[in-house]
Amino acid sequence: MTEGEESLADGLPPESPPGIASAYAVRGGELCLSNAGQLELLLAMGERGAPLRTMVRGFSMTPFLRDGDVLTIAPLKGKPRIGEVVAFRHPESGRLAIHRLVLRTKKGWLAWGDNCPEPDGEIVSGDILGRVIRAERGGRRVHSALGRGGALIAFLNRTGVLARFHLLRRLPCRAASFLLRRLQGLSLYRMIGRRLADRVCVSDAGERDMEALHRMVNPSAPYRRQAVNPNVVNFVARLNGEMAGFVQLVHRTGDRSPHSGYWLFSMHVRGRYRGLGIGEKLARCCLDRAGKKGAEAVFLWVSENNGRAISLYRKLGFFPVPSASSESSTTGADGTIRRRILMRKDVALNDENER
Amino acid sequence: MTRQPTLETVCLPSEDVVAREIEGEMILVPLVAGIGDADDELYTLNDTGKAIWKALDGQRTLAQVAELLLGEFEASPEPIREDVLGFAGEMARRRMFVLKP
Repeated sequence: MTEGEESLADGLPPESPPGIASAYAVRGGELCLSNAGQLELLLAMGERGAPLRTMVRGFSMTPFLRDGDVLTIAPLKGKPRIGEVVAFRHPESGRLAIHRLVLRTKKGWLAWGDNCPEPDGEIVSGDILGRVIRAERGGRRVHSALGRGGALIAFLNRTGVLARFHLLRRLPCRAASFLLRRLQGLSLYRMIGRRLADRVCVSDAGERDMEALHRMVNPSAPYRRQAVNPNVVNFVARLNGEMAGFVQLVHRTGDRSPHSGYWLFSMHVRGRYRGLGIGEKLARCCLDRAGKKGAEAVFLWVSENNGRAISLYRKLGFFPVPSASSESSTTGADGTIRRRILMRKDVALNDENER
Repeated sequence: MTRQPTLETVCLPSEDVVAREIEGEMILVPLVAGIGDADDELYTLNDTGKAIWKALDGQRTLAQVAELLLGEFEASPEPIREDVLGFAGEMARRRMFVLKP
């Protein structure tokens, strides 16, 4: 309660029944805890011998448990069994994980996510924090992942049959992706796609858009509301109400970069929507907004291997500029160094530079 | 009908609720049916509720809790008393608080 803050005492009528919107307590649907936070809460519940309901984040147990399923994790009473889904401290990372026990070992147990290429490693019994006793999807119980079927899934995973099943399951999707990429490279597709792109709507991204984007690119991590940064404008492109792309206009004011000023960052168009001119629409929105903000130029980094993006930026009037910045290369997760090109567009010249 | 707390009431968190502050959020989890709105629901307190919850030690009356918060926040006494009574009333209705006479 700081000065000027309204008293909340009138928020809940004195005789209002439990269950209505509250002035002080919010039901937990909005709560997003990190992995460490979930672990702490699970331990707190375990101390009281009580179960905890939590939501699945990620795809390591797909298709038996899916992203968004609600699990009830109960403290472990009695020995765990092969095939049970348990919550445990990961033997390497120490993070909370919820996977299936597939084998008894000398030290304890071998845990393995149903959709993971490799097991988690050996878990000592003391690191198993609870067993999943109930799974719900859309308010209905899911039986396939738990109970007797669990032992069969564990056997199939251990013997490599499940991995082959996953390969087969993904085959149609991979084939479709391959065909789509080929199609997107055809000029006829792009020509027709650009007509469809008239229906694409680009607007400033709201909080829900940012959450949807986060869940799209990083589904296993909880979304955290970001403080509004006046130097960042997020744009989102929608087609038929679905998010199709995203880009940021960032005003770098510090000396972190040799090129302070306006930057186009994080351009992303979802795979199925590529070739429809959505990237161009997003970039033009950024340029328009930068112009309105009084920018003289807009900069961007683009991977030197990303020919399509470079063509798009050239078309919009960007041109490469030399840079000795350390940002001119990035190191990928696999350790390979990727070189990037710095490009600039003089906004004052507007569209005259466009080819 | 649930008894309404007054400024002379001493409130205690119910033993049937797990309360933890995790990552800046005060989280309450009812352990038994009939607490809160459902037997397996989870709640978080807003800043006002969190400050009041932390000030409750099972000894202070709600008037003393309001007094304590008055020294901590820059606000006039009346809205703080209203908040303390409102919060205690809500928690009591949800059976997350036990009221001492």
